[in-house]
Order: sequence, then C-alpha cells, then structure tokens
Amino acid sequence: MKTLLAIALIALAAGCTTTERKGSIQTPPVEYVR
Amino acid sequence: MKTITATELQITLAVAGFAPSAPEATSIADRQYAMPTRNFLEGAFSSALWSFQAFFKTLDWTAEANDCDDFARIAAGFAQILHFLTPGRPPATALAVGELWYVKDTGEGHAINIALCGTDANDVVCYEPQTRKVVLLTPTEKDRTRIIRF
Repeated sequence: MKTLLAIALIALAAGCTTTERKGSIQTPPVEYVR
Repeated sequence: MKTITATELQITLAVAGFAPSAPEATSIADRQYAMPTRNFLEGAFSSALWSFQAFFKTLDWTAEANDCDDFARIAAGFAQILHFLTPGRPPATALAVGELWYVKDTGEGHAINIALCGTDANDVVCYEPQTRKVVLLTPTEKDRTRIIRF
C-alpha cells in the first residue's frame, strides 16, 4: 500500500512540474523557386 | 533551385519599394539565399506555423510578451528550421524569409514577415504571421519601413 502511495505521489509531482504539450509540429519540406 | 546573393536580395527589396532611409536598418546576414514559393508560404508553411504555435500555446496575442514582433521573429525562425530540415536544400544557403518593421498608415508600429519568392518586385511578399496570410502594404507604409532583417 505504501509503495502504491509513493508511486502515486511521484506521478503527481511529475505532473505538476511538466508542461503538457498536445499535438505535433508539422515540418514540411520547403518548396523552392526553381 | 534558383538562389540569389545578398546584394541581389537588397536590390530586389529596393526596387519593390522597401528601402529604409538608414542603411544600417537593413541587415542581411548571409551571402546566398534560396527562395520559397508563394504557394509554400500560403499553404504548407502556414499550416505548419499554426501547428508550431499551437504546440507551444503561443497563438494568442499578448501585449509585449507575445505581440507582433514576436510573431514575426517566430515565423522567420521557424521558416529557417524548415529550410534546414529540407532534404536537398541548396547548399550553403539561408532562406529568403525575413522580418519587416514598419509604421502603418494608422500611425501604429507593426512587425510582419517579408519574403522573396522570385527576383521581380512583384515577388516580394509581405506575410502577416498573426493571421498566416499574405498582405499588401501601401506605398506610404513601404516608405515607412524601419527595419528589415534577413
């Protein structure tokens, strides 16, 4: 039980210190003037 | 791919009417530039720029912290990242997408992007990074160009 509580607290702390980023960044190749 | 020298870039800007009165107000950092197509700017680039700003939650204008000059800086930098990542990009080139500061006809200072999509005056494209659209400046607004940075 104590182990589970510790894991939950660690996960909560990690969640509090990490900024969540959703989605993804598109990186299309540049189309150049020929 | 067609590329242009820094001198050709500066001449094209001047012919298109973008010539700050103070010579030091134009900064062209690199020797050779590749040019993006206008279709790329209005299409894939605009979509990708949106995804970049959405990812970092910087789509909303915020006074001073995330305003016009910041949008323009981010868009120019992001275009440079895409250029660097493009397979087969012309070697030893920068991308002809820069920043433009000017005074609007309303009297308000503003910052947007400026790109060369060719070597004719009509190929000089102004891009509003806050709407991700190509925009037209009036002749008087072009005359009031304050800073150009490539």
